[in-house]
Amino acid sequence: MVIFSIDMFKRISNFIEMKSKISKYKTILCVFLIAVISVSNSLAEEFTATVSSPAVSVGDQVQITFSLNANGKNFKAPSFPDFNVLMGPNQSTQMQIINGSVSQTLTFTYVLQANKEGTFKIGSAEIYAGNTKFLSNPISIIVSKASKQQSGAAQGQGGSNPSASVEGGKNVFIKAKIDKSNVYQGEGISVTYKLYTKVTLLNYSVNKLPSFNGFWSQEINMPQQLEFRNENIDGVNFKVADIKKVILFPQRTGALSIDPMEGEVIARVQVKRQQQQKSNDPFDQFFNDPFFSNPFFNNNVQDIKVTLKSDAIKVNVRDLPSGAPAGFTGAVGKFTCDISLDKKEIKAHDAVNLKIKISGKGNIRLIDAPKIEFPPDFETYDPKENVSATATVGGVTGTKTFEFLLIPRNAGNYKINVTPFSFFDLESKRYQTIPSSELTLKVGRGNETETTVISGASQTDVQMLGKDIRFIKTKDPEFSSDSGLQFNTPLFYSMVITPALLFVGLIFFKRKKEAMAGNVKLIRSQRANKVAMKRLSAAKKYLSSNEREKFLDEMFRALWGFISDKFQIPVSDLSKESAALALQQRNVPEPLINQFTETVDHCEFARFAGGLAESNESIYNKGIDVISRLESTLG
Amino acid sequence: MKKAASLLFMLVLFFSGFANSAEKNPLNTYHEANMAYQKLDFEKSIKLYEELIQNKNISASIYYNLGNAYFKNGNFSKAILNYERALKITPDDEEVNFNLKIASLKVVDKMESVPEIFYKKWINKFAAFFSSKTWTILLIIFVWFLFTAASFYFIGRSVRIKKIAFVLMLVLLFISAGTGIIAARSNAITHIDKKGIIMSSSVYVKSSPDEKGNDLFILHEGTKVEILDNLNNWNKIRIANGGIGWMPAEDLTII
Repeated sequence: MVIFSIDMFKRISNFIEMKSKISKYKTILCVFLIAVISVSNSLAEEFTATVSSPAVSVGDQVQITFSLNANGKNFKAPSFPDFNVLMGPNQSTQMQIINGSVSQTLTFTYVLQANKEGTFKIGSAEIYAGNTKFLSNPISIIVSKASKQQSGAAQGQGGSNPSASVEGGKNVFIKAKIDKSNVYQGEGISVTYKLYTKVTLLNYSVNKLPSFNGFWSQEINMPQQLEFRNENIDGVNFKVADIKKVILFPQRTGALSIDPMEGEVIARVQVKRQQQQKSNDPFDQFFNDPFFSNPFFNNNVQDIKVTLKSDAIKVNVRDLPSGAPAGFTGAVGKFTCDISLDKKEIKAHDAVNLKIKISGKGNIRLIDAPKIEFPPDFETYDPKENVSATATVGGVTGTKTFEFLLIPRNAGNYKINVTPFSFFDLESKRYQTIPSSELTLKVGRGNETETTVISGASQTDVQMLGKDIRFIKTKDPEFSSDSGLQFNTPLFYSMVITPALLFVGLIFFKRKKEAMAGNVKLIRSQRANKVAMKRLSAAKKYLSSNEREKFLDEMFRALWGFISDKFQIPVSDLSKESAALALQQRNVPEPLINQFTETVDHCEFARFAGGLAESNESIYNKGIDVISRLESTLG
Repeated sequence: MKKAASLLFMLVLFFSGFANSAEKNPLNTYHEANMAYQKLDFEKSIKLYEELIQNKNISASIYYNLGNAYFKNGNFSKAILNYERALKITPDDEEVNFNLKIASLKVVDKMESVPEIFYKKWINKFAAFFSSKTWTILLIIFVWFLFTAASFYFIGRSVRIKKIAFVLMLVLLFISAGTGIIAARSNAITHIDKKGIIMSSSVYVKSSPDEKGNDLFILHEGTKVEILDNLNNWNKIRIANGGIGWMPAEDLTII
């Protein structure tokens, strides 16, 4: 009778999985053997904890099994603080009937994932079998740093034919070759990944393509099949094939590293297992026995999956020299530039295409559109870019076109200034500028109706547009001559100054008149005595000719005239009282005033009384006397 | 004999002068132009109005009508130019202002004008009431009044006359000063400040008076600019939003 223990099988197979370097045949064989061995196991009650692998890497899964070879209850698992519990607890029960006696096994399984490095202890789980409490044995798991080879190896088991995976070494390797390691920013670097082998390769695949951080890459098309050629390296013949060719354009300066490429090959090799796999596991040693390996299972040849990885390459990227011209838009290499307008003469609101065609060798895809100054009343759109480029090991050549669609909105002759295209010439290590002629565009008048729409009239303006202008003036015009009265002209100034002059003249005239008037008084006063004397002499004449009336008249005039002249009192206003008052004001002594009035009285009396009065001669003498006295008093 | 000859000569002169005036009577031409306008023959009316102006028959009405004819003919920049010229003679004419506003809607360049200081704005508003000539005449009249009042003040014998004359004098002094400022401004607007209308459909305004100067901005026909300076057929101009630059003189017609 064959006794079959699933539990044992699992445990063993776990071991096998962990080692994973034994073929399927062996696994089956192993299961048989273990089944045989397990017969010897004693049946005493035991609660044990087992781990699928005592040493794992971070990220690996590990299975922990707690098993009791009896019926149990109240299972209490330990905590797994340093692991992620991916699965579990999964409970399973196995019944065994051996020669009539029944034995059963209760197992709890956890699948854990290691998530950090270190040695971790998993505590005891407890379970009750009947009334007895059992504690499992603590286990420790060593979690080591994750390594790519291991994960790669784990993948390798997937089910492909070769069950072993090794890293590439001296016999098979990938090497990246660059044509230059010291470049300018934007200068193309040709990178070739080559596969070197001394052994026969059955298959080749790329595991990880380099990401080329900091570079812009342009891949070179490769044939589907690898083409091997012979190459001698340090006296050893290798078969070499190019796997991948790429042109890289560094996008920033400094030390950049070109990522390694990872690939996988299946190599047919003759393997000596003993050396390869040394293990403490007694089973492994058993299987690795030459008896197993050599005659029956393979003919000394094995297909091995080999993971390959090229070295990272450092590239030093220099910045382009300073002093880039205005038209430099990142072009590095050697280019020609052609700028053209598809029409030279258009109507307003028609579209015109401005085409800039840059062709040459270099980082053609990375060139930005040259700067163009469009006249402000052009409607412009973002350029349409078009690139056709082919990459060879020598570099990338091709053509890039920028097409600008322009719609001039107004008539006129326009100039379009395109900043001359410049590039950095790698041969001369200098910037070069391709001169461009000025583009001129003649825009004729477009449709008038369109203009009103475009002119940007606001809502109110549009309403205004509906209105027509007012009709012409039909009244006879008043012709105005440009000459005539104007501000700031001599005529104007003369007109303004005239009233001022008149005013000044008026004032001057008035002053003079006043001054003149003043003089007359003085002269009259000065001449008063003379006039009086003249009159008196005239009176004397009449006296001698005995013309009494005329004599008295002259006497009156002499007396009154003297006072009138002296004091500027009009004759009409004169009276004896006013004359006396005027004389008093001039401090003429009282007797003299009296004498004057008396003389006047005498004259009057003589006039009216005729011969009854004093003689004319006495009146005359009195008159002469009083006038001369007054004259001397008044000065 | 001599007398008869001179008489004959004068007669000939008189008739020839009469015939001449009949042929080129500006009023007849004006009516003819107006008729052409009414018959929608704008080309002809433009020709006749321009002829009138060439013969120094200056009138706001002629400029206005010519502006209308240009407008109807689709030449908005010339319409604006003639409206502006009409406004120089009659700044407050409502019809001219209205048509100028409509014609200005056709101008491509729209810009915010720089706001003026309040008192300048007021003075400009006052100045627009009358023509520069009217303001000048008003100023002269006020000055005459002022000095008349002053004369009365100085000559006047009675105190009452002197008092009235003094008050009048002060009032007139104030009025004359105000009128003087406005007349000066009005004169500046009409005769000194040169303004121009852009005649070419578009023109580059440069930073310096030569072809190689940097392009500052583009102006289009009908835009009114202020002319600040002139050098070798280049005009230094200022636009309403304050931008200053140089442009070829031939692209511009002075109002």
